[in-house]
Amino acid sequence: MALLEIRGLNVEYPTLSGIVRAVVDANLEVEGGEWVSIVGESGSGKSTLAYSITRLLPPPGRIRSGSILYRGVDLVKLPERELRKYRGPEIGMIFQDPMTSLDPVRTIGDQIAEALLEHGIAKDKAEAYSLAGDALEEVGIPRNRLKSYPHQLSGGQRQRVLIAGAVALNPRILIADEPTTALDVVVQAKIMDLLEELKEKHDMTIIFITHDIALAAERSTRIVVMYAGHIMEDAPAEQLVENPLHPYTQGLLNATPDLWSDKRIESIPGYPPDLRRPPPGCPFHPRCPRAWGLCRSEKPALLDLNGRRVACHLYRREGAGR
Amino acid sequence: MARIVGRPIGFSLAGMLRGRYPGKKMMLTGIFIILFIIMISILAPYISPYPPAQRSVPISQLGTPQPPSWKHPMGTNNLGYDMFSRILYGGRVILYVVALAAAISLGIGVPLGLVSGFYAGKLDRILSVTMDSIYAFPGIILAIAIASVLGPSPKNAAISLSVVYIPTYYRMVRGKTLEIKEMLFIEAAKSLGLPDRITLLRHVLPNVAPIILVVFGLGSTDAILTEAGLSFFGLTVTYPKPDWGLDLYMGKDYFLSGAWWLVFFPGLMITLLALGFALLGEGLAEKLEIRTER
Repeated sequence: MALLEIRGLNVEYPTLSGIVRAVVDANLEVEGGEWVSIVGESGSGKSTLAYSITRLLPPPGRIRSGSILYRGVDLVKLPERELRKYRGPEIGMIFQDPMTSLDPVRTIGDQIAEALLEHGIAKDKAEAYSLAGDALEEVGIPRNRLKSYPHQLSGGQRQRVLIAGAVALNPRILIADEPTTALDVVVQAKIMDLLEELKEKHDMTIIFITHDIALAAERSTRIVVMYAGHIMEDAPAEQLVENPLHPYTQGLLNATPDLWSDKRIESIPGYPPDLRRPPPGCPFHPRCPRAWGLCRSEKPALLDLNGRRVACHLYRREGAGR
Repeated sequence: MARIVGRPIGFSLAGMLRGRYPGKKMMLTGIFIILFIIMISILAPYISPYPPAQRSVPISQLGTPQPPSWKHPMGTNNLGYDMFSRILYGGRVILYVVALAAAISLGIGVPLGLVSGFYAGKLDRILSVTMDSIYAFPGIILAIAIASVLGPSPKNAAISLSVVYIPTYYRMVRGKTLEIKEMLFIEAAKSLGLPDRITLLRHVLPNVAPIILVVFGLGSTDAILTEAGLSFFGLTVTYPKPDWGLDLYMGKDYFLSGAWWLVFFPGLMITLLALGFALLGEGLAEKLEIRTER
């Protein structure tokens, strides 16, 4: 059994002007030890998919149907009180903006220690602070910083503190929601190195949310491409980059700058669809250079093609589908 | 990325006196005035020259208020009571009533505002509508109405003041809670599996706390004036107990015949106390960079 199994997940945001279907019929399995990157544009549903794992959807978001099995336990059906035991010690999260992810009026030591106490990982305050100090040192921050307030740290340091707080609980899965987007490139690379190091050391599985397919390609074992709430392609990182199957993935890769080639950056024409009124058929067909008749009327299923998956009618013709 | 340096947020007495910050003078002046009035109220039995409700003039002068003199620096009233002694004692009731009212309003308004803002939903809507309708009433009218139903006593006056000022605390705390709960660090606290109780107490409340202080300062200013109104209408204590609001009422009939000292000094003390809280509140607001709308 996979460590995490998402089955038929539908997530929506009811708004005054209609229901936004942010994630549609998502199926995804994550094995222990993987680094799975979920890639997509803003509004593709990548963050929504990740946040629904621990049911931390921002209101009015709600899971309409589907199940999320973590080691066989359906997190969707779990009462809030039970779910809390999973948030942190089983599935940790780090967020996009390290500037606002820490409480400005509490010391960083307090913030790391309180979760350790809450989950019974530390018996008393002294132990909690000593563990919090260890966690800080692990991410390269001296333990005398325990008494510092967030505004006394730089952006990169704050992201390290957040990572320390999440990793201190020893989660099996770490969900990282664009943790480097707010940081400059040099700091970004250091944070990525740190994540990789911690992943090995703590035997964690990482679910990495990003809009940057190049960044994802560097460290991931697997990349999942999302568009308009749908999983479009899911393949081992190398295969996906070398040989992208879905026209959308191809478009994404063509839109990525490459320092070592004089390749022209090509943007994908058009805009993502209005998720309140998605187009019929494949959600990508209005922008797809290779769309044909069936694309406009029938939604493509996610097809299995020797160890990778793609949702595109182009591959149905070749008879690889069911 | 630039390193941001600064001192931790928080209060320390030494820091408050030593540092330079906007609003410092206002705040310290306000605190000084409040402490001064508390002091004279406590020390009244030891420093007042006469008992506050006993004739201190010859019988021949009864019925005619005597103007300020060396023997009676603030004059006497028609019953021959020494006004200076009455002024020294007269802050006791108002301080007690306002302190009790502030404690009740804080104790009820703050938790309701926190819970209401944090959970939103139906409870929030019901509470908001209720609080807003109380808030819409003119404070003094509502306080008088409630106090007259409950009957005159300092405790009842405090309760009626609380009803008037709970919405003020509630509204400010709820508003700030709505703002704070959208912050990513609340999301982060949830992602670490912290229960709502801890998130509320340790992350929301400390971030809301500064605004509570400001509301305390400015709300108490209003409460003092309202309390004086209640006393004026005889809804706190009965004559001859010394009380500024009540003395104002007793003195008003003699004001036109020239006995200005009977209303001037009690009125001055009420104004001074209200000013003290107003300065404290505005100074805090300036220091904490909280914009107030009144």
